[in-house]
Amino acid sequence: VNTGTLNKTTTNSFTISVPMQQQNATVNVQAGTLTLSAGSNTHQNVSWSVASGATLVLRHAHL
Amino acid sequence: VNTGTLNKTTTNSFTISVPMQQQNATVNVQAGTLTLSAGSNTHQNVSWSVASGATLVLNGTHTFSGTHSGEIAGTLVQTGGTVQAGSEGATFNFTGTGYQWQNGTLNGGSAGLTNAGLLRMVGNYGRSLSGVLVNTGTLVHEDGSTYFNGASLRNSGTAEVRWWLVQQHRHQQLCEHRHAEQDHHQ
Repeated sequence: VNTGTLNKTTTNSFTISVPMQQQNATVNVQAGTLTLSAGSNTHQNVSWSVASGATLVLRHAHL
Repeated sequence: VNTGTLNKTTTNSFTISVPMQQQNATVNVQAGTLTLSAGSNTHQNVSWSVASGATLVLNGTHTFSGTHSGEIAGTLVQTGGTVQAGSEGATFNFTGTGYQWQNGTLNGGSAGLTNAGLLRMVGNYGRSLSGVLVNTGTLVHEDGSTYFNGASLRNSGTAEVRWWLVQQHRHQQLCEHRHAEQDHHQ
């Protein structure tokens, strides 16, 4: 459960394959690749940012 | 039983492998390495400090309750074993280099382990998270894999991810994969 801030900061790749529930949260992909790949994710009122050269990958179900 | 002050003062290493019970105590690692490795330890409301260049190693099983705080200029690291919150939960509030979770199990239990300071997941290891972990401070996943074993991570602070992954334990992972595959085929 994320109601705060999630930052992806380095040029490496990072995968989150556990279900995410986000509410009034912030996701900043500042560098590298962040993959959200769990089978079931919910996102409500989320502020997303992906910096130049960075990548955010959504896989499977995101509601 | 420690209800007073424990100081580690020299550059040598020292290991305590008998069970510790600490309550309203103070632990100062001023130099060298202090390892707490007994199979059963309890810590309630302990003030911890680790000086620059010094190391405090947690191994074995440690049950924390109350609030645990301290300025960590050196290294406070869990290298294995289990660190768990007691039935009423516990709060970590470590500043400086923070609490480094390298390996082993972190179990917040049903009441939750709250990180109000800095909690770092370090090293290329496969860690296991159980129970409820609440982050109101700063959580940094620096390296390795963190496996969720029926765990819940509740972040209302700042979580930073750098390298590798968090995933379900193998059984849950397979279930998750099957659900995802079903969704994919529908």
